Amino acid sequence: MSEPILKLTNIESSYGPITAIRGISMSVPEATIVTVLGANGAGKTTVLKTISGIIDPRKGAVIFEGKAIQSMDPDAVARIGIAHVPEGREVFPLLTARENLMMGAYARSDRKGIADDLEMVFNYLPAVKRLEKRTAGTMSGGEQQMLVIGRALMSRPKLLLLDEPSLGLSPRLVKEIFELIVRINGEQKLPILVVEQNAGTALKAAHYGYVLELGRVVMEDSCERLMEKEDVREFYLGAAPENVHADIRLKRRKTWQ
Amino acid sequence: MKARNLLTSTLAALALALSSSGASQAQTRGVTDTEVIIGSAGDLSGPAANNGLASAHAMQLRVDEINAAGGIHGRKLRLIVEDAQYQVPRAVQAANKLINRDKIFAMIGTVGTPQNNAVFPLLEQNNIPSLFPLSQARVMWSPVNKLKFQFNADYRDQVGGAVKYMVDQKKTKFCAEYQDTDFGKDIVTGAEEELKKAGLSIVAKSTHKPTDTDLGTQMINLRKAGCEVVVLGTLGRDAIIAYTTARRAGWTDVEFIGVSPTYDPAVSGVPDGGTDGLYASTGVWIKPREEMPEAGRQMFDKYKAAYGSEPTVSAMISYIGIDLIAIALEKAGKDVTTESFLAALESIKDYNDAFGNPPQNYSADNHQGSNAAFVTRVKGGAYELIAGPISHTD
Amino acid sequence: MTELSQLIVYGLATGCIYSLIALGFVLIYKATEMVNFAQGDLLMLGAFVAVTFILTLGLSYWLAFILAVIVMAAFSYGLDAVVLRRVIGQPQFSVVMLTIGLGFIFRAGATMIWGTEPYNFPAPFSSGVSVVGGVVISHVAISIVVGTVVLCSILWAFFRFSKLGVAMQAASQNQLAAYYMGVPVKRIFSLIWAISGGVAAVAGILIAPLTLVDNTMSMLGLKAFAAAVLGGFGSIPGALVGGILIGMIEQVSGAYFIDGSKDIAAYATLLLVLLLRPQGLFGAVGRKKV
Repeated sequence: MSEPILKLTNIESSYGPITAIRGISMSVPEATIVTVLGANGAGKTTVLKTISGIIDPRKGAVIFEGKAIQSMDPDAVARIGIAHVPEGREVFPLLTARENLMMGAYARSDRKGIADDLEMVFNYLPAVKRLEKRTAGTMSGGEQQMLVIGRALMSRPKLLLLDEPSLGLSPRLVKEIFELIVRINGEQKLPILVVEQNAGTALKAAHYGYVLELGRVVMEDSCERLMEKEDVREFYLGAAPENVHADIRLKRRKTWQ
Repeated sequence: MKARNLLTSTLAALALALSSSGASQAQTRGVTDTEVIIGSAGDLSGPAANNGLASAHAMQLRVDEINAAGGIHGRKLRLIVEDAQYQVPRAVQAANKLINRDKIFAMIGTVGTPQNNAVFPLLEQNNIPSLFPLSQARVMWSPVNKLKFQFNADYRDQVGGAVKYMVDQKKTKFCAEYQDTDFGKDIVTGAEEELKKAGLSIVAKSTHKPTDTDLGTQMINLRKAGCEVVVLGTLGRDAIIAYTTARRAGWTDVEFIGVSPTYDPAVSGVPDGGTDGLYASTGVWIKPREEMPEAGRQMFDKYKAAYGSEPTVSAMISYIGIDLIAIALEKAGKDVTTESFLAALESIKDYNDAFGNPPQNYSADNHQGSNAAFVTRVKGGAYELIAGPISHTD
Repeated sequence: MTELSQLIVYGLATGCIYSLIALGFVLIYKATEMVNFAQGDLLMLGAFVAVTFILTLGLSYWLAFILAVIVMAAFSYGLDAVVLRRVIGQPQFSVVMLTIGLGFIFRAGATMIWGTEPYNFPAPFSSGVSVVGGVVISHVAISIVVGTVVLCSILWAFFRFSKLGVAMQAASQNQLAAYYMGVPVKRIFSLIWAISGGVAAVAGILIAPLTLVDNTMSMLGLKAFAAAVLGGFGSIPGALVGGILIGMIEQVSGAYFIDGSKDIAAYATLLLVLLLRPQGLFGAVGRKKV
C-alpha cells in the first residue's frame, strides 16, 4: 500500500479551555473515506482545525504528501490542496450561490479548469445549479450544505475535510449528502476525512474509522469491523436504550483505554 | 552677654536684609548696568507659529540693530522669547518663567487674546508693562490701564473704518456673517457702533462655527435679506469660503469686507482670482515697495536675507514695538524706572514707523498709538489700497 | 422654488462628501468590525498630499489627484498592516481609542508639516459656474457629484465583478470560511483599508476647492459618522443615502429654521432615527459570522 496522503503523528492541541486532543495519530490513505466518530466534545472538530491550520498543535506533526504542514496559516494550507468544509454550513451569506462556488476557486487561476470544475459541481449538485443566482443566506440548510461541499470541490482539492455534514438536516437530506460524498469519492478518487456524530450513516459510507473519546483515539478499524463491535453498536448505533446511555458509557470507557 | 550678642547680630542681619531689599527697589527690575531684559510669550510652535515666529524674528532683528548702534544709555537690549504654543496654560507658564526667573522689564508680543488675558494679571502683580501684543482685541488697551499699550487699530477700529468707508459710498443695507465666538461678536459690535452714527443698523446676521466648511445656506439667507454690504467677522479661511460661495452663486451686487485676518496673502492668493473684489480692513498696511520709507525697505531686505521670506504684518508690528520701547527707554534716561518708562511711552507724539504707517500719538488717557484703518481690496492676487488711513472717530 | 433648488444643490455636494467618508467607515467596519474614527483625518491628509503635489512639485491637477489617492491608499494599507492588525480581537474600546489617537497624531503631524495657514486648492474648474433654470451650480459642486457617482460605480463594479472584490465581500461576510478558501484574509483587510484611504483622499480632493486645505477638514469626519450611523452602520447603500440626507437636512434647516440650526440638524435627525429605528435606515437585523 502506498504512503497515505495525510498522516497525523501524536498530535496534541487545544482549542479554548475545554476541548483538547491528547496524542492522536491517524492517517488518510489515497482515495479512501475515513471517518472520525465521537460524542460532542471528543475533539473531532479540533482534529480538523489542526489539520487545516486554524489551530497550531502543541506537539506532533501533520504530514501532507510527505511534508510537515502543522505550522502553516489556514489560507496557505488551503492553497496546497486541503479543502475544509467547516461545521455549520459557513456560506458567504450575501453572495450568490455561484459566487460562493467561485470563491472556492479563489486560489486558482486556470480559467478552463475552473469552468470544467463548475460544470462538474453543477453535475453533482443540480439543486445548486437551479439556485445559482440566489444569495446563499436565503437558501435552506440542505442547499447550503450542498453548496459548501461544492465550494470545497471548486478548489480541486487533494484532500477533503468534512465537519459534521449531517448536522441539523433531515434524515432524507443526510442520506442524500452521504450518497453524494460516496459518489464524489468513487468518481474523483478524492480522499475524504469526515467527522460525524451520526455514526450509522458515516460508517456505512466510509472505509475506515476512528473513534474518539475525550481527545484520544480509543478504537480504529475498517468500518465493517467497527460496525460489528459491541461498544460501537451500543453507543453510536443506538442498540442500547437512550436513557441508560450515559451510565453504560462511563462503565465501559475503561475497557477502551 | 551671649544673649545680647545674639540680639545684635539679629538686628544687623535684619538691617542688612532691609537695606538690600531697599537697594533692589531702587534698581528697576529687568534693568542692569549693562542690559534691559524684554520678554515675549510668543508662539514658536503650534497653530499660530507662523505669526509667532515672524514676530520673534523681527523683534530680534530690531534688537540687534539697536545694540549694534551702541544700545540705549550704554545698555544693550536682551530679548527672551518663550514658546507658548497658542495654549493658555503654556502662555502662563512662559510668563511665569519670564517674570520670576528672567526678571523681565517689559513683556511684548504675546500671541492671542485669551493668552494675553490670562497673562496680564501676572504682569500687573509685578508691575510689568504689557506692550504691543499680537491681538487686535480692544481689551489690549482699553479701558486705560497704566501698564497696557497697543499701537494699531483694533478689530473694532478696523471694522469701524471699513463701515465708515462703505457708508460714505452710500451703502445702507449692512449685514454680518460672523464666527459665533467672542472674536466674531466683537467685530459685529464694532460695526453696529459705527452704523449707529449714521442712523443705520445691521439688517441681517448669520453665524457659523470656526470649523465650518460650507456657508451655502448662510449666503442664501443674507442674499434674501438684500444686503449691500456683508461685514465678515471671520478669519481668513471662512472669509474665502463665504466670498467664493456668494460669488459662485451669482450674488454680485454686494460687497464683502473683513478685518485684518482677511488681510493675508492666503486670502488674496486664491487661484483664478477667486477672492477678487473682496475688501479687507487692516491697521497695518504693507505699502508697495516704492512707496515705503527707506528704513522699511532696508528692514525688508535684511529680514528676507536672514529668514528667507517676506516679513508679515505680525513681523512689522513687533519690529515697530521694539522700536517704540527703545524710544521710550531713551526718553526715560539713564536712571529708568518702570514708572518713568511708562511716562515716556505716554509722551510719544507723532511717531512715524519704518513702514510709513499713520503717525502714532500717546497720552495719559490714550494708550493706543493710532486707530487708523486702511481699506484694501483684492485685485489680481494682491491687495490694493482703496481708502485710508481712515479714523472712524474723526 | 429657485432657493430650495439652490439649497438642494449645496446639500447634494456636501452630502456626497459625507457619503464618501461614511463609505470608508462602513467598508472598514464590515470587514474588521473596527470603527475608524480617523477617517476624516485621512481625508485631510489626502487633500494635503494632493495640494503639495500641485503647489510644491508643480504637477497637474489630474496627476496630483491620482498620485495622492495612491499615496493615501498605500498609507492606509500600511496603517492596517503595521498598527491596526495588531488590535484585532482586542476590546472595541481599545480599538476606538487607538483610531481616535491616530486622528490626533495625523492632525498634529499635518500641522507640523504643512502649518496652520489654509492652502488654496487650484482645480481646473474651481471658479466656473453654470446657471440651470435660475439655479446657480458651481462646477466644483458638479465635480463632487460626478466624482462621487463615478467612484461609487467603479467600486460597485469592483466588488461585484472582480475576483478580488468578491473575495473582499466574502472575507467581510465570513472570515473563517474565507480562510478555508485560501483567501489571505489579513492582506484582504489591509487592502480594504487601502480602499477606504483612497476613497477618503478622493473626497478630500473633491471638496478641497470649496473649503481650502487645512486641518479643520478632518471635522467632516464627525458629520460623516452621523451619516454612517443614520444609514445603518454596515450598509453601503445606507452610508451613501445617509450622507446625502445629512447634507440636505443641514442646508434646508439652516435656511428655514433659526440661525444655528444647521449645526444641530444632522444630529437631531440622527437621534430621531435612532429612537424610531435603532438599526438605522438600512441596517440589517441579522448578525454576521466571524
